[in-house]
Amino acid sequence: MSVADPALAERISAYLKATQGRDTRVTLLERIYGGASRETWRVKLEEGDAAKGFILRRDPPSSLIDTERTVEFSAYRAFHKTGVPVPEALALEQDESWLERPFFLMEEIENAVAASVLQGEPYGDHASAIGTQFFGTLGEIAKGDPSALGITWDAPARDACWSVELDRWEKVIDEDEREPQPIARAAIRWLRRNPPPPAQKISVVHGDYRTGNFLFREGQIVAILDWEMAHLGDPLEDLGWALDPLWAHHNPERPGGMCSRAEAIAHWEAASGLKADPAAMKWWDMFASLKGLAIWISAAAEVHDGTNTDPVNAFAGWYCLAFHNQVLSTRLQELAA
Amino acid sequence: MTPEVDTLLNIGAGKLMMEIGPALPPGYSQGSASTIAMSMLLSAQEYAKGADTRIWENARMAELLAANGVADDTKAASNTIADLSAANAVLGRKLIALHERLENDTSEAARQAVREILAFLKESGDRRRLYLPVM
Repeated sequence: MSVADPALAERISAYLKATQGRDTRVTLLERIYGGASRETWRVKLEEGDAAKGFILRRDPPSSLIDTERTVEFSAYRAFHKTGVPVPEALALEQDESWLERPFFLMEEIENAVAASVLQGEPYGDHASAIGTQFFGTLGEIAKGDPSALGITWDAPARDACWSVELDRWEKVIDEDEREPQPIARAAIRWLRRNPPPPAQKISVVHGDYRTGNFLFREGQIVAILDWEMAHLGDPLEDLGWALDPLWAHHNPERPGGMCSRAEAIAHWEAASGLKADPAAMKWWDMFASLKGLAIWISAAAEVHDGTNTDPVNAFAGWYCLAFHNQVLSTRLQELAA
Repeated sequence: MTPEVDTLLNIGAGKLMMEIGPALPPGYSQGSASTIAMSMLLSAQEYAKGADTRIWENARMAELLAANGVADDTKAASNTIADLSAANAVLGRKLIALHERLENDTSEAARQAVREILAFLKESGDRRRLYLPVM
């Protein structure tokens, strides 16, 4: 057991004593790799004779995407104990005096792993089963009634979901591009000229539902993570994002490294009761890669400006940006042929 | 220089990924070491083709601008990546404006010019694409 940041460990114990009256000692504190939008720490506590673990998600000094921690926390709360596997959200603290920045605590899911998109076969013989659950769970999220889940976020009109999201991500590009982006600009103009049909319903959109953002154990998904970009909108947005070729584990014929695109859509339609209209998906597929490009442009800006030089930002702002530029430029040429 | 810089970067990435990284504490340190190693692999590819890609892009964008009546005398101050990128940015802004103007022009000549710009963007995307080994 090691404590990577003893000062932070002491602050955590002090927080739990002051807010919950608990006498605890941090026996393990290690930062988990990969959270560019939040610092993620694994924490083990000794409390009397008991040992407990949880996950600390703390705002970074500068985040990849400016997100509301309250949105992420409320999404975990909303879906806990539904059919969607998520860890239990335990506490949200906005007061910066405790751990220097706002944070929230959630249950630790033990003995489970997340896949990397660089792995060729992350799911092995379980790929098909994982795919069924992954796209089926996304369908369950799409099917849900946001108000019944207690979600009170702003809801766009069904015919405005696409423009709200496109405006949002175009603004990110406007603000964060440090060099001209001719492919992104061409894609934005195509998306505006060719709007999709109105959403079939307004759903909770996870916002970053993809391989790498869930934990699995022996062929079973046990936790859907990273809800920081959640919002209300067209459920096809999440489907397009989950099917994006960046998450294909080197095999564009197998989105998410799990199953074929046709199988993925069939699982989603069966669980959601909705249709993935091919004409609408053409738009949401293009949008997904454009949204990715906006995120990578932001990551590159963070590194360029020196506000967040984490290696994962440099990597995303380079490799992922080049990847999505290639995807979008190919699609744009095909559509014009 | 022998060995070339890309060779050194590839060797360094291999050492970092296979030997040094696994000896670091698990979690953030190991993950960051792996990401830095992958960025070194990307750097090796960029060393090999970065200048050539920018020289080609800049020449092609200048041709497209000239063919569609856009005045331009942009020249890179040298063939360093930094100077080529600075010229690339100037040309890129002009190309975006030209592309948008042509999309609003319904003539056959404009449609053909748009197809040529899209072909350029496609080839640019292909040339700038980077590759990583399957882990």
